[in-house]
Amino acid sequence: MASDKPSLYTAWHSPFGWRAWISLLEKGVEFDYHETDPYEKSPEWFKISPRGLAPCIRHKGKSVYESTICMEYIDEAWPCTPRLLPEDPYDRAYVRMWTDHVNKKIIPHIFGMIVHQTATEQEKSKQDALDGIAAYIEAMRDGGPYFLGQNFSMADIALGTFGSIFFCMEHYRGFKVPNEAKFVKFHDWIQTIVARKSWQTVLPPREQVLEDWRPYAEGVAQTELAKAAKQGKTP
Amino acid sequence: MSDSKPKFYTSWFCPFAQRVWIALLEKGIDFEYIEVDPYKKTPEWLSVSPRGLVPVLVHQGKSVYESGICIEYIDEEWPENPILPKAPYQRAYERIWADHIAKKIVPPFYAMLLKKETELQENAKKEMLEQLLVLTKAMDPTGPYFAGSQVGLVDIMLAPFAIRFFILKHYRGFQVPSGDESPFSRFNKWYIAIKERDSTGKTSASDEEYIGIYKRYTDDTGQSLVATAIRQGTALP
Repeated sequence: MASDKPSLYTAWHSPFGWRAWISLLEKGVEFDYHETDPYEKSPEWFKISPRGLAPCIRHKGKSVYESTICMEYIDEAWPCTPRLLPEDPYDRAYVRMWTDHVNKKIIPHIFGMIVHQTATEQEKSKQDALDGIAAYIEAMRDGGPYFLGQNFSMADIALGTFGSIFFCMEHYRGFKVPNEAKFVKFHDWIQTIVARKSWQTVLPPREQVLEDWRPYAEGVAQTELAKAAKQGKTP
Repeated sequence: MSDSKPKFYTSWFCPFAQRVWIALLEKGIDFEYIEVDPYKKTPEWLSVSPRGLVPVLVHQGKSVYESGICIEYIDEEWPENPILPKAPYQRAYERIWADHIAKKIVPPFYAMLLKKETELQENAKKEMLEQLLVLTKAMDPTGPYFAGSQVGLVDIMLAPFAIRFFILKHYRGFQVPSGDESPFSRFNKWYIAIKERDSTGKTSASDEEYIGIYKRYTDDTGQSLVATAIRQGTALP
C-alpha cells in the first residue's frame, strides 16, 4: 500500500532541493529524507524521478519533481498554514509571476557568475543578477517583512534559498547586493528569511557550501548543471 | 466571481498567446481582444507588459503574464469548466508535463527553424521526436486528450505548437511518423482530437499566413527574444 508519508529525495547542497525541504518543514509535514546524488544516473533513480531531477517527492506511490512544482504540490497536498500561495487568484498569479522571475531572471545569473571563467562574463552576470534582484524588491508589497508583505509565500522560498548563500558568490566573485537605498529592503528581507527555523535546519555550514561550489568557480565541474549554467539555462 | 471583462493582449501569430486565447474560449469567458505588435516596445506597452511580451491578461487593472500563469489565473478566477483537475497530484502531473513542453519541445521547435546548419536542424528534429515520444508515453492511454476525456492544461500548452508542425514540414521536412503501428499513434490520435476543437480553429490563422510569418525565422531575420535566445543558445524568455 503506497505510503501517505512522503519521501524527499534531494541533495544536501542544492538550493533547489532546499525549496522542497523548507516547504515540508514549514508545513510541519512528517517525511523521510533521502540523500541523493542526482548526477548518478542509476536505473533505480529514474524509477523514482523519471527525468532524473532532484528534488523529487515520492508520495502515495507517485513522483513530483521540479522544485517550483514541488512547492505548489506541497501547498496543495497539505493545505495547512502557512499557505505557500495565498487564496486570491490574482495574488496567486503574483506569487507565480515573481517565482518565475526568480527562476528566469535571477538564478541563471547567480550560476552564470560562478560558472563563467572570464571577468567580462562574470561582471555581466553580476549586473544581470542585481537587475533581477532590484525588480523583485520593487515588486515586494508594503507592510513587510515578506515578499507579499505580512504573509510568507513561495516567492520568499524561491529567492530566499539562493539568497541565503550569496556569501559564496561574494567569496568567489566579489558579488554583493549593495547597501544603497534601492537594495535596503533586500537585506532586511533576507535577514528575516534566514532566521526562520526551516532555513536554519537546511543551511549547511558555510565552509561546506564554499567547498561545494569550488569546482564550479574554478571551471572544473562537469555536471549537467555546469553545462546548462554556461548556456544561461538551469536544468 | 469577477465582474469586469478581462483584456487579452495578444499577437495573432504567437503560439504562447494562442494558449491563453484557447483557454479563454474553452472557459467561455467574455473578454476584450487587443492585437499588439510586441516588437514595438513603447512605454505604454511596457506599462501593461513589463517584459514587453505577449500574452498579457489585464483584469481589474492588474496584469498577468506568462502563458501558464495566465491559464492558471483564468482557471482560478472563473471556476466553471475547469482546465486543471482538483486533486493535488493530478495538478502536479499537468504542471510537470507543461514544464516538459516548455523545456524539451518548444526549444527544438525554434531551433529547427532558426539554425542555419543542416546538422543542427537534424539534431533539433531528432530531439523533438524523442521528447514528443516521452510526452506521448505520459498520456492517458484512452484519451483522446492528454489526461483523458477532458481538455486540460497540457493540451492547451501543446496545441499551438502541434498545429504549427506543418510549418516545420514545409521548411525543414519534419514529420511525426504516422500509422497505427507507429509509437506516435497515441500522439496522432491526440492531434486529431485537438485539431477538431472549436477553440483550436477559432484561434488559428490560415496555413498561408503561418508559412509567411515564420519565413523570417528560417532566413535568420527573426528579431524576437525567442529567436535571439535560440541563436545565442540561452534559455527562452
